[in-house]
Amino acid sequence: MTAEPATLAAEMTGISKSFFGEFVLHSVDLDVRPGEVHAILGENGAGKSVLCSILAGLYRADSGAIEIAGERVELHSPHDGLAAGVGMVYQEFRLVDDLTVTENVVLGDPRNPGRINWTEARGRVAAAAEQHGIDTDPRAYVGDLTVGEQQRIEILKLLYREVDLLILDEPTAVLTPAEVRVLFETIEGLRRAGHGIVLISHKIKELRAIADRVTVMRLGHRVGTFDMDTVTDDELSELMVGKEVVTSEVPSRPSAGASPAFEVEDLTVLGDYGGVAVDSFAMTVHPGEIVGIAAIAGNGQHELAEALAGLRRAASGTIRLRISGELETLTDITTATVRERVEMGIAHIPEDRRHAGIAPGLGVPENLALKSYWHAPLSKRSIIARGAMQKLERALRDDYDIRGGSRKLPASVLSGGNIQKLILARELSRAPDLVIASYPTRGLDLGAVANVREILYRQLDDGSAIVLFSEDLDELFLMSHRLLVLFDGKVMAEFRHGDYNREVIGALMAGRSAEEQG
Amino acid sequence: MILPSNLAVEKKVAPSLWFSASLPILSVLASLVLAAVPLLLVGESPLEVYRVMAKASAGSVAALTDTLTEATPILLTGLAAVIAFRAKVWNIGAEGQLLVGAIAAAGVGLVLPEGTSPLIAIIGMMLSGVVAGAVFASLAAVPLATWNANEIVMTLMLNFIALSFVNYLIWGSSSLWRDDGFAAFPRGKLIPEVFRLPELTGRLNAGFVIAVLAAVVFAWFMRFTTWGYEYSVVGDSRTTARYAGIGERRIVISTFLLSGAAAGLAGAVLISGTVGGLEPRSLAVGIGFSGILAAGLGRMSPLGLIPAAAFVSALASTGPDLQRIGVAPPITIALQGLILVVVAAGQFFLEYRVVIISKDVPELQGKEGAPSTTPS
Repeated sequence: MTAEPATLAAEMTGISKSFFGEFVLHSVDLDVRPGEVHAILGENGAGKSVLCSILAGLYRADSGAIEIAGERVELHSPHDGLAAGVGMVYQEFRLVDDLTVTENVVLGDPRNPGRINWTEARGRVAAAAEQHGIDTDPRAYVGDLTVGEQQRIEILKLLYREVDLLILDEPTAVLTPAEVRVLFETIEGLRRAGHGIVLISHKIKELRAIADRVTVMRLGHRVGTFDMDTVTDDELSELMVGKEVVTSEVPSRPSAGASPAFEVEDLTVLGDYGGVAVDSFAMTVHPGEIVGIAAIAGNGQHELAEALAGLRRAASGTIRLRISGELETLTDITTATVRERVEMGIAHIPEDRRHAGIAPGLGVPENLALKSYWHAPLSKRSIIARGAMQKLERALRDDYDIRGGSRKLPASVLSGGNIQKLILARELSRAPDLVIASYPTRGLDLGAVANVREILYRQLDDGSAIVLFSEDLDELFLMSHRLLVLFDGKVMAEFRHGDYNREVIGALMAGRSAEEQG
Repeated sequence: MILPSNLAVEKKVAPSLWFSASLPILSVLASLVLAAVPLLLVGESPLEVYRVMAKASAGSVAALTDTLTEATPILLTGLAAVIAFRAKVWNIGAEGQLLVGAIAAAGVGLVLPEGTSPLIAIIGMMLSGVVAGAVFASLAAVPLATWNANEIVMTLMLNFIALSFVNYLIWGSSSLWRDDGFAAFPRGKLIPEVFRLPELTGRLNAGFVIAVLAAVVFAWFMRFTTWGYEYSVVGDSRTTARYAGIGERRIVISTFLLSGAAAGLAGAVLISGTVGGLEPRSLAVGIGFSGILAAGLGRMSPLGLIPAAAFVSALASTGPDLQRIGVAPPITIALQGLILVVVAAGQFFLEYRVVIISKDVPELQGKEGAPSTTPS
């Protein structure tokens, strides 16, 4: 201790924590210096967020000690954490949309007098924002701000409470590249001002740009802490997942001459408020083929995915599917219900995996049964066979490597990657003819991403056709045999694997056609 | 949360089994200790009051059977609440559905010739109560499922309509249900004695068995039928139900009707059981709302509801005996209310724990309590 040049901003020693009798942290150490950006790197479920939540006072460690600025502390709530000078920005923001920036920042501050002088409060919030280089309007309503601006308000809230140590939980996951730059400038400023910053992430590339040191975690253990200069990206990635991760390119299509498995013609779909969301859309997908849809959020891909899955009515046009067994003919499924489409062999990996993809309060067996419970062996004459449901769980857990949770616990305790594997297991084990995959790897760590992609590739060998929606161009380039660019609900262009050009496709996604680009 | 500065509240991850099992007992004990304070203030001996309460609710076979008899309709309206609330359908109209069930059951009992087989008559009365409760609930269920109308407002208002209708039948018209023998002070006409539910022991009649069976059957239904599975999914996440192609509308309507049916059955059991006729002063006494209370105490479990309904009924049955030893009715009601509040509040400890902050970290309190300052 005495050898340290200055007091540490925080030091955690021997922190252990278990949930439901399952260890999530095994005697983990962490130290953060003032004026440093300390990254915590690890896969989903490695224990990064839990460790930081303990430091912020949200959870209590089962054992271990925490010192903040050299003083031993016992944190019982985030309130205690703030009082000790530690604050955390969670992935889901804790903001009230209907209140202004000033009201949000001041909210819950124990220093507030019984009656708040709002003019004065606004002045203090503006001063704090100015001081820390955060660009905001104290009078603006939080609900009107962009995600990036809201995140800055979360940071401002902590700075206003005079915290010395800020923890940011995957702050870039929700941001556009431009917003990430602004965030990193803010972090840079805080570092210079002597704040300690803990940055949870699983994106090594980003950490390169901003972190001083990195603590790598795996399965609840601390693998090691390194100066960023002394480790390479490959080394970090290996430490993180324990094995080298390679995501392969999509396997080439087996038979180019096969007849289409899925056809959409002239499809028009309306949005929630009656406007045209998808305009005269057409596509063909062959067995063993992945067709990617590239679009900036809000250009109709959400409505298109829903229309293909049967969740949204087609205003006009036709959707046809080749149902296995009926080799040459396509069946018109334009008006088929969700249930009918499930029966015909359409699998759907939904955008919102936690709230649509699973029933979060039900167990893993119940969630695996969601698309087949009405059939034998899971039920006979409307009576559920609980034994068969548990048998299904045992089989699929092994096949798809679903880890965590137990029969009695709700599926919501699973990590993001395992929830996605649960959904894939349920959807793909039914040998679907068509898979609608919306953002299948969003927010997952490297290991899980590779896993999910391999599972989808495996499905191609079985002759499924896949429609892939993703916000990640790299993923679309890697995985799609063909790519459709969607802008304002219309197909702008189609590309084949090998002809992908980032600039051209990027411009088309923004609505500029090839001619306009000159 | 306002607490002394050395106490803090923490969220628990999961309560242990023995703790969830013993919590109700601990809560009752805590409520008795707390209730002693106002009793002492009004000059009553808490121990004497508790002795009388225990004796009145469970001190003898007669007291116990009385408690269970009164618990029967609460169990059924509680089941109505559990069924609806688990699917996030907010039916608070059990009170009205019970009354409509009672109208139907009494109607059947009065119309059938006295020579009808009692078994057939009783089954007919129960079925008519069930159907009437469900039909009355459909007045709110269909607008909810079709236009997403607010079911809380609708069912609350339907309670008043049902009550006014019962009052009209007995006091405002010379209907089938009215006993004209007392022209100046009309009351509900009694159904033939042979159509009453057979008594098991003391006042306890077969209605109790019907109510317990209904709760058990529903628990089984929930777990072992495809309808029950769909119902759990809809209750957990409507988005997921839609994604899975589960007809959400069908589940919401059937849940609502089933909930109304349980409340209607409560009305039928009262008519064929303890009350005997459409008597507003015995029927419209807040049983629908006691059911919601029991459902909450039973943590929305159809089986947990059984002891919860008995507890609510036991507490309610203590009034007359307490009055006999000189406890004024307002005191009794306040006492019952206090006990219920404390028992319900005890469930807080299933999810949270209160911890004592060790005293060797004074800097926490120091910083927290600092006066309003301008951020430097």
